[in-house]
Order: sequence, then C-alpha cells, then structure tokens
Amino acid sequence: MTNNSNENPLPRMHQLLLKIRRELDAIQVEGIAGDGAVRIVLSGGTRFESVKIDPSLASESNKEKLEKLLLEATQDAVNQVLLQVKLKTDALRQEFGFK
Amino acid sequence: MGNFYSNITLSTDDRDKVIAFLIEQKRHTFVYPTDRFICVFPKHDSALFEMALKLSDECKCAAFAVMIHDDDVLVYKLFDSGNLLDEYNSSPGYFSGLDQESTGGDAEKLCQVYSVPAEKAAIEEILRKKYTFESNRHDAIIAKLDLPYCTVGSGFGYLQKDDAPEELVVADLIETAADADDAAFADESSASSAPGRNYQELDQGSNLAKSAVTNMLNDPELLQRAWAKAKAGADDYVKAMMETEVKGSAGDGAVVITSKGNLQFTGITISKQSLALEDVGKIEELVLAALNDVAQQTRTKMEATKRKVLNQQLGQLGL
Repeated sequence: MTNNSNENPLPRMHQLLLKIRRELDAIQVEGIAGDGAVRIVLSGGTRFESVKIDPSLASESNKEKLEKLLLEATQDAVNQVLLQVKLKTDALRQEFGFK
Repeated sequence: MGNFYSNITLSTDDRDKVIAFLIEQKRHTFVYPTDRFICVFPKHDSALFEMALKLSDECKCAAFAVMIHDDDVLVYKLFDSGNLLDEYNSSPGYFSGLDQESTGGDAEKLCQVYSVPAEKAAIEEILRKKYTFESNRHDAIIAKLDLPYCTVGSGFGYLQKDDAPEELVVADLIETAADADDAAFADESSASSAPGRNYQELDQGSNLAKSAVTNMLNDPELLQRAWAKAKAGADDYVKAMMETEVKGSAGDGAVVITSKGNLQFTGITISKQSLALEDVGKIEELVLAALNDVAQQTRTKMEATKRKVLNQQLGQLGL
C-alpha cells in the first residue's frame, strides 16, 4: 500500500469505483464478424442492444456459417467491454498502489 | 407443534431495489434472491400483506405472500403492481373454532400470473382438498406455479436460527433492518445475526462490524492483508465463474446460446425451422433476446458467486 497520507482511502476508492461504473454504463461497443455481415451492439457491458445480420446469411444452407459469425461478433463485443473494464480497474489499482 | 412462517415471493430480479425499499421502510427481513425471484422473509407476520402490496407496487411485479399458522391454516394474497388479484384462506373458521370450507383462491388467476395455464385444474384441486399439514398444500402450490421451493417451511424465525431448507444457502441471505416497531434491534443485531450472513442497513449499523472496519483502516498491515484476501477472493470468484455454464434461449429454443460464467461464449445454435423462413428480422430478434437472456443469467450467477466469495473472505477477516 503506498498511500502517503493517513487519510481513510475508502471514500476516494468508492468514488472512483462509482465513476468507473458510470463510464462503463455509458459505453457502447460493436462486435463485428464476416467483414460486417454480422454486427452486434452491446451497451454498458450488460445489455445487448441490437443484432444485424446480412440477409444473405439467413437461410438453411448458411446455418453453420451464420452461427459461427454470430459467435465471433458476440465475443468481439464482449471482449471490447472486458478490455475497457481491465484498463479502468488497472488505473485504479495503480493509483492506490495495489499489486 | 406445526410450522409457523410467512414469506413473500417477488417476480423480479431487481435485488437492489427490493433491499433499498425494505431499508427505506425500516423493515426487518431476510432477503434471498434466486434465479428468477426474490424471496422476502419478514420478521413480523402482521406486516406481511402490507409489505407485499407495497413491494409489488414499488417493483411493478407480482408478489405472492403466504402465511402458515401452526400448519393448520394457510392464508395467501396475490398482488401485481400494487393491486390485489387474489386471496385465499384454507380454514377461515379456525380462530373462531368453526369448521368452514376454504374461501377465495382463484386458480385461473394464479396460473395466469405465473404463466402455467395448463395447471389450472391441478391448482384448483390443491386449493380445495384437505391437507393434514398446510405446509404440504403450500409445497404443492409452489410446485405447480414453479415458484422457489426455499419458501416452503421457511420463515424469519427459522432462518435466524440457521434452520433453512436445503434449497437455501444461508450465506446468501441478506438481512435488512430495522423495523420501526423493533427499536431494540440495533443493540441486538450483532448478537442475533448468524455468522457469515450479509447485513444491509443504512442508519443503525452493526457496531462490531463498524469497529472491525475502523481497526483495519487504522492499521496499514491489516489493510494490506485485507487487500491480499480480497485478491484471493477475486481469484476464487474468477475460477468459480469459469466453471459456471450459462444457457440462454429464445423462441422456445429456436435460438440457444451457451456461455461460460466468465463471458466466454461457447455456442450459438439456430433451429433449421427458424432459418427456413428466411426472415432475417425475426432471426435478429430471437438472437437478441437469447443474448440478453444469457446476460441476465450471467449477472444473477455472478451476484450469487460474488456474495459467496465475499462472505467467505469477510468471515476470514473477522468482519
């Protein structure tokens, strides 16, 4: 712990966590697969807002391809949010000297 | 002596809202979230139906409030969004010594609210037949309505003594305090609360917990140890979530999505029948609904896992 002052660090930590939470709630990311054939929008890291599929994929013959692209686009969106979470919490950890 | 208990089953997953409302109303309860419901176990039976009405209004959801008296009488009231939809008394003459048939109880309404229309005849039979133990009637109703089993035979008094049904994890209980008419609670809380239990209230905290936190903040070594414990807890949490399987679906299984609890999606399947229609708008709609189903279930599992790990860590720190 590298806090130099004797002040209670919890209120500031709590404030920063709330700030991170607000920032994460406000972000919106788009996961893309198949050169844009499938697009999935995820907001706030907790709610999927939309799914867009190229109409040519919506057929029985493209079943496997569509499922694969949907999976890729979903994971792409989720990974973008997870990266944001990691960046923001790393900054918080550094500020408070947590290893 | 038979069972005495009361509880409320809320058809919502908004745990924070329920807890905030109970705290605001100064109600002494145990709150237990399940996958699809929040169960509330009030300390005082007298507040049961009023509390259910208000919670149903506040959360804009259905509330099923049940009271069992000595396993001889079952009384329930069903509310939705602040409106009383149905009420039932298995033995209305019990307290006046009269043997009277049950009153109230609308099987159709119950089945409608809990989306089990096919169970109407079975519920009607359960409401009218004789039971030696009313908690068995409660059990039968819960099974047909697909409500959480942890409410059967379970009330505040039992839970306070750690006498909980198998389906209920005591460590996941959240205690709200204190009743407006329960003035002694602030002094009693630390002693009466079972160890390892969440304790949530705003104005009259547990003195033991407060002093432990103060001690920790005044001791850098203790604070560092707390951080190490928290980190270990986070690792346990990540491990537990990695091992968790979550499945979401939409359109009666037309789209099924699976994921690990750590948000690594493992599969998406779309039924051939859905694709045969070649209606891209419909497929987009189903996939979106299934994704949000997975997200919701993941949140619920994350909350439960987080609470379990946090409780273990706090317990090890003596908080």
